[in-house]
Amino acid sequence: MTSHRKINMLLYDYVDGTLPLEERRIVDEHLASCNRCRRDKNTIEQATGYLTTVKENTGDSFDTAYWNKLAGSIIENPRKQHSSYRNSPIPRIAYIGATAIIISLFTFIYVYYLQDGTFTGRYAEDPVESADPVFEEYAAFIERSKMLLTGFMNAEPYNGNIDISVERTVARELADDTRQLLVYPFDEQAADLIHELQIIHREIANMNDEDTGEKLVFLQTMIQERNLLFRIRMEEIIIQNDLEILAGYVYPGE
Amino acid sequence: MLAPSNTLSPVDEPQLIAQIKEGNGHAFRLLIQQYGKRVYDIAYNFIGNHSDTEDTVQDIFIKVYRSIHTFREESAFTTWLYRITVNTALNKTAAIKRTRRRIIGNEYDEVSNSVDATIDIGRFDVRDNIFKALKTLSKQQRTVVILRHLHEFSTKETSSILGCSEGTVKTQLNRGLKKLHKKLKYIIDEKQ
Repeated sequence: MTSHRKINMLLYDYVDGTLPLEERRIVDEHLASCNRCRRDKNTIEQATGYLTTVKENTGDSFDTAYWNKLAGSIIENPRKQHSSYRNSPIPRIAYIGATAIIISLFTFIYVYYLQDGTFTGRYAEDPVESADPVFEEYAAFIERSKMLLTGFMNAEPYNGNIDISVERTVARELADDTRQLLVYPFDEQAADLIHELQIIHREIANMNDEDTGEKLVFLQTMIQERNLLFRIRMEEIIIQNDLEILAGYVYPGE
Repeated sequence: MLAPSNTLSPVDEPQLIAQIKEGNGHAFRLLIQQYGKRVYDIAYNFIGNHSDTEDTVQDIFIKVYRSIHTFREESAFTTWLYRITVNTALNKTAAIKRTRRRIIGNEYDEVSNSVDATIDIGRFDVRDNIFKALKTLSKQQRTVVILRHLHEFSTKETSSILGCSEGTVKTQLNRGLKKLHKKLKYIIDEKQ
């Protein structure tokens, strides 16, 4: 007599029709005399039957042009990387080490030499609060910029009564943040993005109630043409996900 | 098993990967055209809405482009790609859940943990309810059900993608389907 457990392990393939003939015969014999396993088989049949209703090829609705555009946007915005590093097994470790050294150096310089009132930030006020305050500040800046620009892009144009007072306040704060961030040695891509966001944030901060209609459209077009939301998303991914890929990606547990 | 339209021949694939590693943009376009739909379909089954799925697919291919030089060809490229797909989609669903929880607080947990509340027989939108029921499964059960049943990967392929044994896949599939059946029992009874 075959055990229930062994039969249970075979039931999905049995229902699916992919079980080899010999094993199928064993399952048939067992099911003929076992109510419990027959009930399990019916359960699996019903559950898979219902799941079939959500089996659809949603990706088919996208044509070649869509995938080309996606590929193009990724290729045109690569993070700059030295070609000789591309195939080396150690660039990431070197990069992390170098970043840590640079950050430590700038922390030292900032704490000991630049506290002359030129500008004040949490970095200077509490240098030991975080292991990597520049990184955190940059990540927070990117996240807030995304929220601001996403909301701004969704604002209705040509509506005379648009209230963007909150956006103006946030944009002013973010424009101030960029001045601090640009002090640090970001790579070319990040520095470009910060610089362009600084321009946009200043423009939003300087909007008047009278020019919201036309200027709104102008700035929305500017954001779109400069591909800012996509570039922000790229930065977010770089910030959040580099290490998980590097680690070979472990299957997430419960 | 993978559908023929979603695979490159064994000869083409290594060449394509090598060309992408050398920075060939055209090869990357071919790769996205080849696997984009399949990646989209898998991600959609985890996420359940198109706008978040589009973002996720973009994230997946950015990761692929940026980290393809770390792919050492010890496993099939598709195994690597679909592993990234699954993990990115799971991260996205967790992020969506976190955002919702932040917005509507503890009510989200109460609603999402309640079978009766998620399975709305009144409206009887079977498709929606199946997606909701899928989301009540554990990550591992949901992943196995989606890959093995909805996308017809073999047990071996599923185990390679998830990095677990074939026995685990079978066990999780059985448990997942039984749990789904329990969640959808009301619909099934109604239909009968």
